[in-house]
Amino acid sequence: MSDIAAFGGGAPAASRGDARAGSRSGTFALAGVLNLAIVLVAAQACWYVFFSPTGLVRLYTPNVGVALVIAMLMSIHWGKDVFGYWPLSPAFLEQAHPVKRGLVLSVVSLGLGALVMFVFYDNLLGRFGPVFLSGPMLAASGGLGQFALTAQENGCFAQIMLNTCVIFCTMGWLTALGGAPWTDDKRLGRGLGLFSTGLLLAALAFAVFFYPHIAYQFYPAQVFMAAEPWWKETAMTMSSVFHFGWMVPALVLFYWTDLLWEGRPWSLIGSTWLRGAVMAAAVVAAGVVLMHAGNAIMDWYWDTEAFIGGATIENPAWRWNHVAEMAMFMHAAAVILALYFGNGPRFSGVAARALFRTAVAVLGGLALAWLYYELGPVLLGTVPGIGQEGDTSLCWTVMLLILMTCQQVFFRGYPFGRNDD
Amino acid sequence: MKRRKFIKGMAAAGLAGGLTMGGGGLVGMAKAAKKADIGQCKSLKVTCVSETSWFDSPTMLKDIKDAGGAMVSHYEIPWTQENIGGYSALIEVELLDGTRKKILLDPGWRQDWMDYVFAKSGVDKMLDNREIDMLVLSHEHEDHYWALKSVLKHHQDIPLVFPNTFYPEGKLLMEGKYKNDLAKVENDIPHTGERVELGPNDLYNPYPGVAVKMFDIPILLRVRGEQNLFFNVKDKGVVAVTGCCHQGVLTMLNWARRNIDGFKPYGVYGGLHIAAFENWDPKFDDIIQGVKGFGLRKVGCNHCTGWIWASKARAQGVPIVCGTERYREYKTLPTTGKGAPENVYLRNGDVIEF
Repeated sequence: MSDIAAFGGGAPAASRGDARAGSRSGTFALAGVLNLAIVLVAAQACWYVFFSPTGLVRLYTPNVGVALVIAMLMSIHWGKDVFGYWPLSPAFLEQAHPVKRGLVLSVVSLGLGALVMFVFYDNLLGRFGPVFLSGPMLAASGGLGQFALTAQENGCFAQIMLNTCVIFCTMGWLTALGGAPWTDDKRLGRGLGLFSTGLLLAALAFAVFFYPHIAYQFYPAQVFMAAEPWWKETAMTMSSVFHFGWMVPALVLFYWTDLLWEGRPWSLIGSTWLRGAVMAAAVVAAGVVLMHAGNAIMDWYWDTEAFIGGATIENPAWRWNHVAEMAMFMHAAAVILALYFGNGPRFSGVAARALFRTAVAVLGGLALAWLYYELGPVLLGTVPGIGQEGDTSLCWTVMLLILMTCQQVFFRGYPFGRNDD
Repeated sequence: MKRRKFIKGMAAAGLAGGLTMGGGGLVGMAKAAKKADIGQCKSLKVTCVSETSWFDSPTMLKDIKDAGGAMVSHYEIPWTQENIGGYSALIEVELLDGTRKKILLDPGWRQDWMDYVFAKSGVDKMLDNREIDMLVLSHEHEDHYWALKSVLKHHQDIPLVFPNTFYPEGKLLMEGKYKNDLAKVENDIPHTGERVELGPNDLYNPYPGVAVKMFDIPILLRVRGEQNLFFNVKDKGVVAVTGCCHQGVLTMLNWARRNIDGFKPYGVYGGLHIAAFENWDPKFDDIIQGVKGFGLRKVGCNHCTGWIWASKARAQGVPIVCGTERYREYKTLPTTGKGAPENVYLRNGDVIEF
């Protein structure tokens, strides 16, 4: 199995109709169940130790926890998908014991994420450049409202949005263009090309989609620094969470292209650059459509519409964020299907397989969301109900995705094996 | 307390009759086919007994941050005692027949501060003399609820209206069986009076023109559910009186528009939970636009509304009622709004009439 299967960029062997994988489907299923059980136990332990409001470290403030897991997800993408594990040798990657390999890759990836957040953003970039990226520097500024907790949450909010742009642009480029124009380069050269391009595009995306929010989150509004949020009429809110609401579903579509759909339908376009352009435009458009469709479904489900200035489930910004939350629940279900259950039964047609897997991901995501909200108050220390300001399931779902990647990709499915081993 | 009527179940059958307590009513609103007629009252007066739940926002936020942030239970935070006060409002409503009713909204937080403000506003004597008809608990948050003892020691059997979503600690506090040395909260005087526990599908209508509505919502610091009062003032319109308004000022008014018969927006009093700690977010600008769109005539705000929201809203035409300098007579002064050109809060001791 490709090591980039977890988030896109390669389907599991079983999903490609591998005969060997097919003959071992029963074993896969059992190994998948056992491995998944281990990951869920690890998720509960990690949540309690690092995030839970009733736990030990209590990083779910909420934004510190969300920012940290997204920074770690970004660093996993850099190490795994962008740099192909450079500078680790192919021999180490292939031959090292899964535990040794897993520990090295996990510690480096997760450590890099923490380093990006707590050192790079909080104490370097935020100190010498854009202060809004650093909670400690915002608090040190002493400005009105930039008190300890608010400053921390605001700094983390900016990091979450910037990192989301980085992940979206990097993985979008990788999925749409397959690493072009650095396809033939060595890992370092290819990685630097993808890394730099991802950062450049992310900086532009952040400037247009999120920076106006940042400038208007201070009092008085920093009107010379950014345009007034230009989306407010369409979004029913000045909040840039509106853009988060289409970007995350679109990112999930990028992920699913290789994870569930075996590259279709985009692989039908022969020209790399044409394929990339069509795919990028279509995925962004689909993200916007999914966001509005999600909002319409919420209108129907709760029998109430979001409106300008509304709160809880009537708050447009909360609605847009909830679309992103639901997309990540569905992506978590897709990853479970792909990594732990070999992408399910293998039909003869690609379209049928893709449809089936998509249906499983959507329904599985709904089931996961239901479990999250039902069991959250008992297992995660959350308050019963939905629509709490600031509260978001993204911290838990992204943490789960990270743990599944570590277990299946870094530890190669240890201890019960991976579906292509 | 007179027996009051609960009207239950506008649900499938439209109006159902009074279920239990004669007089007013509890209306089931979950899938209401009809709007509720809550009647009318003649006038309404609200006195700000105390809006200073905390005197310094940075200190309050540091307490929360050091304990692990906004998702941690308020019962697990070692609050800086010298920074805390409490929220309480005295509501006097005149019914159409001339009868006057007094309602205390929330007992506040630190007992010695609440004892002080109750004495300063005369609430203590009113409680002693059984002049206050009921205590409405807006929600379980520390600054609105934890000084319950300051009320019960004057009037142990005061009728109580509270959300049905209280956590076990909150229920024990009501029973006079709770003491927490970390968060510094205790009560050993059990409440012995009548209790009305409201769920999200209920609308409690104790007197004509007066209603209490509970919203089942998750709230920061591990609290669930908040309720507010609606008053339908004859020839004026509906006034909402809130504790913290975590349900959202516009969501609250939007609910009233959809569910109260003859709804005409008129006013709001209380904490509106917007820029609670003088923080800002672009979506708070949305709320200014929304409130303007509602066409309210009087907005009296304080507490967790956010001074900067009130200032910004007033500058943009929201009819914010300014307070007096009376709050300066209190022994502890808030740091919020210091040096501001005008007082956009109704502060301790201020009165607003609707």
